[in-house]
Amino acid sequence: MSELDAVKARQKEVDSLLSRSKYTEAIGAALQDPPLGSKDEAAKDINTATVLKAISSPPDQDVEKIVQSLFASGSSELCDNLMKYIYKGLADGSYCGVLLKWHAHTVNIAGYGPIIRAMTDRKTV
Amino acid sequence: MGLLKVNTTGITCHAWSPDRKRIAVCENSEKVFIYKDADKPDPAQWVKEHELVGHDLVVTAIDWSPVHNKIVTCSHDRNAFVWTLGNGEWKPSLSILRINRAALDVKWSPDGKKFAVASGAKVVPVCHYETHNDWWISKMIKKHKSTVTSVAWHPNSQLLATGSTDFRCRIFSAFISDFDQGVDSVLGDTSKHAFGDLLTEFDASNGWVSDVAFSPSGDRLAFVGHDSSVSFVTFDGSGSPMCQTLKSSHLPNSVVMFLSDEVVVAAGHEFNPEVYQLGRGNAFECLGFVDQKGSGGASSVKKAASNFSAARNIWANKTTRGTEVNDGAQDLWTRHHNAITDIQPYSDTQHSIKIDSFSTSGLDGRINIWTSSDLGKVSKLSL
Repeated sequence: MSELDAVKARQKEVDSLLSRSKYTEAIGAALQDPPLGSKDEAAKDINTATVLKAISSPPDQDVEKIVQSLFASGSSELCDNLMKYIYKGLADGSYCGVLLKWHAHTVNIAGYGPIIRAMTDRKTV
Repeated sequence: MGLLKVNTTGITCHAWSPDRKRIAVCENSEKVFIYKDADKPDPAQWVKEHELVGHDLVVTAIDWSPVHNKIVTCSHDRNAFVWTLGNGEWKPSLSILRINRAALDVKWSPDGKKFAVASGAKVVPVCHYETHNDWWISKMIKKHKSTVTSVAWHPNSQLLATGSTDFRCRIFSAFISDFDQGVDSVLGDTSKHAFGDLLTEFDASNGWVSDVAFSPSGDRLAFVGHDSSVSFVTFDGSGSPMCQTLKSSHLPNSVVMFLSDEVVVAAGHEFNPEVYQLGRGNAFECLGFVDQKGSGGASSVKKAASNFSAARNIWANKTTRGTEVNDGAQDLWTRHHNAITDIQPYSDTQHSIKIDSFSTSGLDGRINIWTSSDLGKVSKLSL
């Protein structure tokens, strides 16, 4: 399966979870295995759209709980990916209000490490 | 114990004499000062004894060999000097590094016969003494794709680990056939490889590798990356080495050192040394910080006595920490008030390979000594 197909399949999965209001699962799935450092810009764009749609769906009061469950997943991977997409979204500038809320909760829960990794990693999302 | 506050421009590096009665300090300048009476608990009683003048630009690393009591320093001016004490004076002798960028780190080999210099020139000169010319001559380790930030010797003095800004940590053969005898090592018989051969490399870091260290036995290696990661390599003798990477939730570490084969301490931009210990399943785990709240750090922060000094503090905080808040609760309680630049063993390493106290220097111009009682406060730590 090509990267593009994988990304499209994930988009469908996330959409269906979102339509059933399963926000935590949807965001967890959206942040799994992103096309890091891929040369396929289309795949990266679709995945960014998937993540941004997923994280702008849940109500504000759920954000903290969702970040906590991402962080509790064991490795810092999901929070690192989340932070990378937050910065990508902020660069684009259309979801800033939502993204800053996520940013604040991610820093509170996962520390500065994800920010450092979003800045240093040469394989961008 | 042991807080030397020399200036406000920071300390780039420091090194202890073999008997721990003297300390060499570079105060972010081209000079190195040697203080005597540094074994006294009150650093106010440390006395400036010598000035090592010779470099033109800031000194980046100092190493004081316990084998022959020589000091080696290196600097942004692309030079390294070996300093020898004679007639009460430290005299420099030049080494021919042949690099065209800054020298960033220098380490004596444990047997004192060689030293290795990390440089911005993508090479690592390994120097040895040539008697008939009376100078230190270098052989080059190449094969780096970017600046080399740090070097570390294996205890057998024939393997060299390097950390680089190309995100990799590598191990090279530093076997010099003129005087080295082949020994059996974690990576096979050392005499089988020619000088400068790349033996293995690790790309576990996603950022610059800032520092690298071997364990006292040489069976483990640790390196820290600028992506806030710490990686541990175990050589178990069976083919490929095992590499474990921990990503921390704090700011990146810039220096790393083994206290024993099972305990690693790393420090850097978090102002606070962090301890890692080998736990169950042969994996390292983070035990937490050595500097703990209420252990004496806060007392060193003076409260503003007047409106003028309060205003001054706001500006000082803004420039040094990027925040203007200084309302007591926000006061830095850590013993270091800025990034840690260097870490050195303090306990006697000649008679025991286990280190139970160490010192750190920082950009705040402080040197802190962390004793075994400080380490005792770290829960679950067994040294």
